[in-house]
Amino acid sequence: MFVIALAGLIVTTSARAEASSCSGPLSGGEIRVVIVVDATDFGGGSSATCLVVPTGTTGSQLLARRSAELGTGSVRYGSSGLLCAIDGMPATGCGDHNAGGFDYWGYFNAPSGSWAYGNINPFTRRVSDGDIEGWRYVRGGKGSAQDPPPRIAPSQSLFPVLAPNVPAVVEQPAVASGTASLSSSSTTIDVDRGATSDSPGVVSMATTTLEPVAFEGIALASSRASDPIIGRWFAIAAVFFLIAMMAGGAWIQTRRSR
Amino acid sequence: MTAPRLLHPGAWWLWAVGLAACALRTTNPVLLCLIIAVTGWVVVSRRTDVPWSRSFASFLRLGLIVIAVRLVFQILFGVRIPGTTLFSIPEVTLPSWAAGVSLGGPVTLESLMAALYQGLRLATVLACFGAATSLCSPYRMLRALPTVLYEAGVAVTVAFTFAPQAIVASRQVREARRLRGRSDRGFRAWSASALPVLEGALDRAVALAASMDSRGYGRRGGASVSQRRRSVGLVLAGLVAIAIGSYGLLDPGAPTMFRIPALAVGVAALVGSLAASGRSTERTRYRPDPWVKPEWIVSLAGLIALASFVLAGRISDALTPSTNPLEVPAVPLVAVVGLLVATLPSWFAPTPPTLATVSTSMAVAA
Repeated sequence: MFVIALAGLIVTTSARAEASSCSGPLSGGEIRVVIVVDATDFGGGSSATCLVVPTGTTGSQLLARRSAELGTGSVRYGSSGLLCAIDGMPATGCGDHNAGGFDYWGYFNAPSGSWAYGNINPFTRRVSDGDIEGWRYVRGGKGSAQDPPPRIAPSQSLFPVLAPNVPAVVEQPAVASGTASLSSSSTTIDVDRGATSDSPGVVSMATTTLEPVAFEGIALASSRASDPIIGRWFAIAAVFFLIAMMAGGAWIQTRRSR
Repeated sequence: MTAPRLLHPGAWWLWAVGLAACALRTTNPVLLCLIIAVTGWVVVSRRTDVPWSRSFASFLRLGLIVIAVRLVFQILFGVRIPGTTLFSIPEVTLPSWAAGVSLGGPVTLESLMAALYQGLRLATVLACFGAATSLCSPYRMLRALPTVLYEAGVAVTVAFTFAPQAIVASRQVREARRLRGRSDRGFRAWSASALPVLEGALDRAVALAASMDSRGYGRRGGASVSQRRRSVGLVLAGLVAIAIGSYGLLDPGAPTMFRIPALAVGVAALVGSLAASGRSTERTRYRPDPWVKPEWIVSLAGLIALASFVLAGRISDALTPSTNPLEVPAVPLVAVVGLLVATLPSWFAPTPPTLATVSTSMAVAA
């Protein structure tokens, strides 16, 4: 555990050392947002990631951007639009029952320097500059404002200090290549001073601790991909052949009875 | 080959409810289409000559409307699920108190497929209900109901006969329109006849309930007023508990409390009502429908299909294919085999008597 944490620290330190757009000046139409993901209750780490995104980005787009930046696999949604998994956690299931409540990803906003339960649809909520968005894996939660917020406090110190004298020209080619590539880099801050309100003494770890899980997610994805899709199509064709036979038989019987 | 006779209506209802429960357990479009095909096949091979046996097609049409409405609602008000954007419609920013609702915005393939799967599931449940309605007579079903339900006489009668009566009424209204030289096709004809059809169907169901009441249906002989009140209260409480329990059984996501316990409480209340009424009435049945081998096969076929779906759900998550990311649905073999078992009634149920066979057997008897 210590080794993992140490490795996390090292990698994060180097990530911080890397010059990123989040500490550089913003070009027009760009905003800086911090997204906090707390998977401690699932056995993952908690992290705060600073992202530079285009104006008008929604909460769910922000989450997708974070996964893309960190390479932690895509966010999984249920058919109803319920968010099921971030960073491949959990691998299966979606908002399942547990201990009289639900295991789910709670959505939090920080409108006034403290976490508030997000009653706004992340598909429609548009983030603005300096916003801090939080997701926490809640175990046995009630799905109400009483559910615990992320352990990392939403302080403005999560944003890296703006580096002075960074030439604004650096971002220009990215602007030219379209909004999708506007923020090609992110800063992940190692937050070990995070407020651990409901579990004191827990040192929240940087995103690097997510890596084993991310690998697992990739392995899962590749095993799904190797599942022969042709075989699935073949099975579907066989079932529809059955359906066609029944429909044809029914049609003939109807014709005969007339 | 057994002699033509009508199968016990309870067997058909058990079979249909089994298939409907299968449909509620899955959003796999391949399996849902197969369920519809199975119900259609069995309906066509074993339906009777009576007016309501044509209701299956109406239920299929209703299912298509349900799917269309579900898709339109998803496009207009649905959750803006991210994914492959097909097209966008103008977006309205709602005030913060309505922020949970979205109006307009990008429409993704993922969201449309999810809506299609859910609409198809509801359409399949409707098809199962339509199959039960067209396969057995609502009057025989009323006769076969356990005596405790007689207390809720009018409600039960309307519940079981409304759909078939609506089919009969819609035929008559359409015929009347045609006789007056008006078109019986198209949206205008449909909207003009909707109200008379609903009104007529409800009138017929209530009239049936009234005539059954006047013939002593739901009467409790010499029971005193307080006894009767107690038993009626118990029946109502029991029915509510059974409704909750069966909902819990059909919906895999329901809390455990609402499953077997609620069902057990409901049955206990109904049994209690029988005891409360003191069994003061003796009933006899005129030519009761038998429950013999074909009835067992038909009802077990539906239950085996349901069991196969429960098993398939335990084995893999192929019953609920992911729509985000979108994937080609896998076909669980266990579930397909279970649904093929559900086609057995089309061979093992006795053929229903037609007007022709009735006259032949009478001629033979003579």
